[in-house]
Amino acid sequence: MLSILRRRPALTYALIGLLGAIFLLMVWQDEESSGAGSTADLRGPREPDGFIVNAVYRAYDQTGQLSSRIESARAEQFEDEQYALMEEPESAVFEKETRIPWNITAEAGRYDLNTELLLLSGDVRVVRSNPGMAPTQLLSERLTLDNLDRIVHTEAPVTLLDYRGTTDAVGMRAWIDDRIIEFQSEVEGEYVTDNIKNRR
Amino acid sequence: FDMNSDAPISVNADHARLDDMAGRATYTGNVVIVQAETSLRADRVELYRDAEGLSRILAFGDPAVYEQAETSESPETDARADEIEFDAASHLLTFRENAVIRQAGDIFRGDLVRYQTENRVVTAERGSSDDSAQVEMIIQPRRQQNSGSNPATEDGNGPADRN
Repeated sequence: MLSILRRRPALTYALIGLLGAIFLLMVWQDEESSGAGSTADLRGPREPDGFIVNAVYRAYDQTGQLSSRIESARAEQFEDEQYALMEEPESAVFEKETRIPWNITAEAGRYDLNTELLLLSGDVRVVRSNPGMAPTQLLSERLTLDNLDRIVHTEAPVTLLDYRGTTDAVGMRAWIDDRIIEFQSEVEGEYVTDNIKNRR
Repeated sequence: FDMNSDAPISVNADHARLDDMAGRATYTGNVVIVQAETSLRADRVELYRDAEGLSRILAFGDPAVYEQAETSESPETDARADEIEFDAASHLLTFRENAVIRQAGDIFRGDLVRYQTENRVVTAERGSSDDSAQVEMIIQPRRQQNSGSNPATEDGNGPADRN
């Protein structure tokens, strides 16, 4: 094969050129796929219609006051069904009268853009600061924030930590602006007396 | 219930409604409240809080039952009524409607019975609405301290000969 190439230089150059073209073609395709690859990576496997990095959703009441704010490191929006999936959403829902926020965090959230329902899951924490007292905390694995009706509710087990002590129950509904919490079943409360509290 | 005690208060119920603004927590359905040797069982219990803490407890039942176990200083107490109110500041328990208090064999019945939990004094009254109602008290004679004399029997006819 080599002796043939030595006797016919034109064939040699053509072969080198062909090999070069093939090499360039391979390099170009690799870049092409990686380019496409980086876009696909950004968009994510669920292929949302749109995605927002460091997303912030704000909702206002009829008087123009900020009623809630939801932030997420990444939100993926799906236009057809009008919802957004959120990573580690952090919400703040502001009480109408006092403007004190109920700060809500979770591992994941699904926000319905029409009904303003935010379904939270994974280590859900609701924290409300109380001037001069320990904050009120609600802990659960699943919770729905209904910003239109201004309530949070769950069917899952829930724990309330507040100035009274600890209350465990299954199922809960809380009215944000009225600051009323209803536990639906299996209520077990352990409350410290003021004597114990004063010694803390 | 002693707000200055070291013992925590446990509350179990089917449902609960905590109203922060009104300072009221309402527990309904098989409500059991326990603190150390004291317990309260009722269908519905309302706990009221003020700036200092728990100020008042209102219990409703058929009947609501308040029990205090015997201690070294005091006998067992079993008290029941349709409505029981506990005022933390005055340590006063008020039993309304079909009130029956049992303590070391003594029985107090009336429409309105008050029980001071600190010094364990019981006062009974007839309800204002029903003139025919009466207060009933059965006080067991105390055992005489000095030897030789026997206590009166249940029917009060003087010492019985026991050979």
